[in-house]
Amino acid sequence: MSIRILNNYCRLLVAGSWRRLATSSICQKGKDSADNKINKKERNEDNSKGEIEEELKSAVKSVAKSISGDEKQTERDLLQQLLKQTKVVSHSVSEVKPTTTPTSRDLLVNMTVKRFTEDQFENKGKSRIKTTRNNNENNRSGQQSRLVREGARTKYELFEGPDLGIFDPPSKQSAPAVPGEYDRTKTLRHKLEEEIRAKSSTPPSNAFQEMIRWTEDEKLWTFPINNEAGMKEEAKVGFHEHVFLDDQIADFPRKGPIRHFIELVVVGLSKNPYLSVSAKHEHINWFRQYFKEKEPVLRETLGDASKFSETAQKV
Amino acid sequence: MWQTIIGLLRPAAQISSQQVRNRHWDALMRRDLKRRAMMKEYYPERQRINSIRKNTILPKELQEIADKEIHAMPRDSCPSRLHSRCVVTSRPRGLQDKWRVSRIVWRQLVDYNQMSGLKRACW
Repeated sequence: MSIRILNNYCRLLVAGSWRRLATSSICQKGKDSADNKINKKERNEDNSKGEIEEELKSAVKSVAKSISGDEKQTERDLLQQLLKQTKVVSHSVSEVKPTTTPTSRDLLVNMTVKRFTEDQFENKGKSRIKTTRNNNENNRSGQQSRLVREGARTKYELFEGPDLGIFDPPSKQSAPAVPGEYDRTKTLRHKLEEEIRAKSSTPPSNAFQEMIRWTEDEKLWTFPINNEAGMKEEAKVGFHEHVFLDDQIADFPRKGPIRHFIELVVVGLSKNPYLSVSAKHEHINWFRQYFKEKEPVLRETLGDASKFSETAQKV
Repeated sequence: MWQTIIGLLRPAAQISSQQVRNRHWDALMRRDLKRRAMMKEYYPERQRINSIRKNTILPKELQEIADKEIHAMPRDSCPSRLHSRCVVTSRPRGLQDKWRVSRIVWRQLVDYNQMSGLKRACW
């Protein structure tokens, strides 16, 4: 049973890390030789220590010789791979302890599956260097392949490093409501069409185009119906600016009929949806100016209740 | 060639081949439009002064002053001086407010299917 496990792991190793060599004929030899040697190794037992057997080492050497490039490097890589594999294997193997002639079921019961750690997964993928047809292992010089291997070994951090400044940061871009949605008015196609339309005044070729133009000119309604269609400036203004106008009358006299009057005015304005915020401020300012002009008359009748404070005191 | 020679003459001597159509059917219509423009200009101030006049909170001395101020404003700025007229014929009576035309013009337009959503009743 232990032999079968070992066999499987070694097969994985061979298939996974040397898949790129499957097509080339030269490397086939290497693979065959390696396979033979690994099979020999499988016949041997006792790999619980996690060390690599001598036969495996020799197999690795022969494979390295057959592959073009830096022999020492390939040897090192392969041995590293094997070490990691064998460690895993040894752990799982050690848990199996047969007393009498063990049945497969007994063995399966006691066995636990060891999970690969993250490091092992990473290294497994990295040894698989993607090559184009021209940039094949055979065509590459020794220096090139060494560089490739070195590059493959380094860890690439995708989201770290200096900003290239090609794109706007995500905070600047407006996030779409539905993920995957994009603003069609910012696409190149749309801009091109707009340019063409601006320069040439050709009439629309069909009713659909006519309706599109009318919709863009805001002559037709857009669906779903937006009650506030066309009110772009008002949309920027929050409701609090329309409703909470008490700050505007902070410099009016605190008590008296003038205060009472202007408070009623403000209440009426806060309920008015038809005036803009600037119009409301203008309305209040007119009253302020009017009452200041009439102060001599008001002072006689009201006294202190006609005085406006110089500095606006927020209530 | 004759057109150029005629163009050199006094405007009164020129023969206009087309019917003269101005914006105003008659002087009454023109006066009403003038009042409307003036009202539009003065209405905000008029409304504010009236709000001072027509309340029981402010002192009467102030309200008397406001009375005088509004009296000093031009007479045509008052909204009560407006009188709606037919846009096409300047008719002062028999108006359909929604369409701003007199009943005769209204009927004419509807009969020739030039009014959206209107047709002769039949049930």
